[in-house]
Amino acid sequence: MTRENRNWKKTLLAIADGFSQPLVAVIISLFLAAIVITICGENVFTAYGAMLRGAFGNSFYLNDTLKRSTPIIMGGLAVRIAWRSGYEAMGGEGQMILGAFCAALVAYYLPVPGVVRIVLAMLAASVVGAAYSILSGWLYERFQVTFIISTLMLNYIANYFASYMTNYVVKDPDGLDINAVQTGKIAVEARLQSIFSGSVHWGFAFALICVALMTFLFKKTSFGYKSRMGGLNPKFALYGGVNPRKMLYLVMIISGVSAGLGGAFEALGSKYRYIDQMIFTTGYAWSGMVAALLANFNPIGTAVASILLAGLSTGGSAMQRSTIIPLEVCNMIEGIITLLMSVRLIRITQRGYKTKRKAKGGARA
Amino acid sequence: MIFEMKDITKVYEDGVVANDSVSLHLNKGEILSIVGENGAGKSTIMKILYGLVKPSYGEIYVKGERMRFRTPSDAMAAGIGMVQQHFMLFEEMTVAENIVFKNEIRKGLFMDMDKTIETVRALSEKYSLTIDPSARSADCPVGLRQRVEILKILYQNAEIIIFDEPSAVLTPLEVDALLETLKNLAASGKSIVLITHKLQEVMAVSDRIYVMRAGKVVAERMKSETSIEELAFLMVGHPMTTRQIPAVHPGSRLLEMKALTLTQDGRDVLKDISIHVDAGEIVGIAGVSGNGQSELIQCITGLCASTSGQVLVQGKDVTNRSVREIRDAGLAHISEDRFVWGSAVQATLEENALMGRQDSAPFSSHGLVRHSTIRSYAQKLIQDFGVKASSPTQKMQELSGGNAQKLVVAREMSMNTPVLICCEPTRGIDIGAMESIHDKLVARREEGAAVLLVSSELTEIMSLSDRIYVLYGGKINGEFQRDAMDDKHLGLLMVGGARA
Repeated sequence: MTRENRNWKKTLLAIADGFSQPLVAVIISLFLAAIVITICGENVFTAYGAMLRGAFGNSFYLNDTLKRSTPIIMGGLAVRIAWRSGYEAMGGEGQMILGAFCAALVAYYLPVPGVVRIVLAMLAASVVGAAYSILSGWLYERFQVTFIISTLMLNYIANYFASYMTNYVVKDPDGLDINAVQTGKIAVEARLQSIFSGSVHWGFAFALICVALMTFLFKKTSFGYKSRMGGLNPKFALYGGVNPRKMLYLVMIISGVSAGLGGAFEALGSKYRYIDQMIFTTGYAWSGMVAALLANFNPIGTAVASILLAGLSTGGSAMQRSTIIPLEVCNMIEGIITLLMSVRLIRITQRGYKTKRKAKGGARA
Repeated sequence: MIFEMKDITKVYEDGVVANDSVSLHLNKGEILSIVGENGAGKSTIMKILYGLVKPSYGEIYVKGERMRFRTPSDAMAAGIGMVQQHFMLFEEMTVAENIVFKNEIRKGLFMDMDKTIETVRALSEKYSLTIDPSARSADCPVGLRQRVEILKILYQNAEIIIFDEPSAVLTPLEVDALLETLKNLAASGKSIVLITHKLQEVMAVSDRIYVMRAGKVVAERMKSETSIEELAFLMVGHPMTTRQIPAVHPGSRLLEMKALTLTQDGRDVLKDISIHVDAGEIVGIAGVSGNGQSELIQCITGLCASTSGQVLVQGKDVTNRSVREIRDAGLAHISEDRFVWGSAVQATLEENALMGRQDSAPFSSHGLVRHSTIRSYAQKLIQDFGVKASSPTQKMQELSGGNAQKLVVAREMSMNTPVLICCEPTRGIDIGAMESIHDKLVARREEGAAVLLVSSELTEIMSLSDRIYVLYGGKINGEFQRDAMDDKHLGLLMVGGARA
């Protein structure tokens, strides 16, 4: 009985521990933003009230928030699988850009029936996202280029490649506005339709399915087990007969497919084309990373955090409309959350460092 | 009486009582041993002594004065020094620089190197601890490094010196030198606390002995009035049996290496290793750590690719194959370091128990893992090997080192493979559990398994092995049959001596 109680207590403590940092991060960032809002001369409750209503207040806003959360969820899942398997890859943005770009082209140019076009567009985005992700995996395996360097650089290459193509090669042929740098508008039958009457499209439903799939993959399959062990101690996984090379590429593929699909959903369900910089400036992939961190890499938690972060943006726009507080305050909030959550990241890596050092001492003796 | 601890009790946050009203004292010029199994509370007492852990209750007196140590520096200031099990040396710096670290002899802004070397030399002569002050630490063998640690503490004018398992890393000859040093230090007026579980050494040097069990001091004996048998009985709580291994006639060749060579950075880490283990045989690899044992095991188990030569498991050539293929050929592997290779500390016990069998029935089928099967299997391992754990869903890091080791051993032994590679199987394990693991190893041998045993504990190798190979400098430097074993000769071969 007492042991049972202790286990319960432990579990509760562990949960509280898992929640405490994200909660503290969110509270501190809201508090700091409140100071800025007060300095600007606005009532804090008016501003936050406007933000809350503008994010979740009615069906229109809620739709907007969920639509916005779709690529963030996919980006979050991409980060989740890579990081939990021990690869600190940040290439979600580049893969998402290429995914969106390719999906937009396939859906616009391919002369096949609408539904087939959607499927092929999503397939193309998956393949391209996976290939781009594999590239950074290969650089890591072959040349020991760290993921942080390779993925951050590859993000720029993807963005400027898509930008060049959109400017000079596949620019919207029937565009009325000569200054708009974008591809042609996807025909109605090749778009991801809205689920209800609002703006939230089937991409959101697919994203939720991906969350479920990811949960299943990690909880129930031996692949999930192997990737998790590899993330916790690569040497242990190697020792137990896990093929590290195979795991690296499988993980990179799944991560790349997630991010690529995130881009495809945004192109096919929200913008109906690829617009230059559309992924880069919105920072969907980065919000996804913050969401994954906030949720401590739990897939369902990542989805919830993604919706909250999306709400921060949509609500922020509403706040900007109805008060004197600019949207930038929301960027500030997300920035502070990122900063405070990265403290956890540092703690994780430090712990790894400590165990490594301990182990080294032991090996020497 | 130079030092006294009164009613020291330590209760950790999770409710574990590590020390329960421990009272002990130390006289000037005395060698005091504290013996006990792992988890008996030796390490906690030592940490309290050295200011690393604060006691929950109790008082500490040094020369009659009440002390409250908050950090090791406080303990150091009170004249207490500790020689750690894992040395804390700057590898790239000289012996002298290491010794004067934190109390450098300066000339203006810079270190006065000549004076430093002079001081260190004088110090080493005073205590007859011969050492070359200008040698690079990394170039010193283990025994000398330990000497540097001792000199470092003497340089800081410590009067009480704590030794934590000092002989764990030494060769037999170095151990003799160490014991001599302990006696010299005591003779020159230093007071020594020796924490160990090696009773021969305790009997060789101590004046007085405390036995700890389950957080308490259960006995205090003068050396003259006790024996190894009595101390062992007091530690374990039941008499120890000496092992009689029935002779088994070796069967077919299950593990074989032919001229295995590993060259790293132009240096032969392993050179022409040709050894074999037959069914029904325990074969020991004796040697001082760092003579190629780790690399040899890694080459056999697929963790490291050899340069030339062959490895055969049950007659099948598995040279430089993947770990998966080698394990599938019929091999299990208890890794030398449970935390580097043998486990993931942040994973649960059941996750740790599954490793190696994640793709095989009954634990998984069609890529899906069966959680209930895995849980009951983990539960069984925990029970069979006496792992002290509250549940299979506990994290590995919540277990003590010895219990973590038991789980690793349990996992690999329960695979029931024809070949078992066994590295340091009882490192950090208490005597009771050590016995039961040894029993299980012998049982596997009787079932016809081939066991390759690598251990830095010579007694472990001597008591279990049918045959012994001595590894020195990456080469086989001698082979013994069970009845021709002699620890003096073995010790000589381990440090590079010629074959008789």
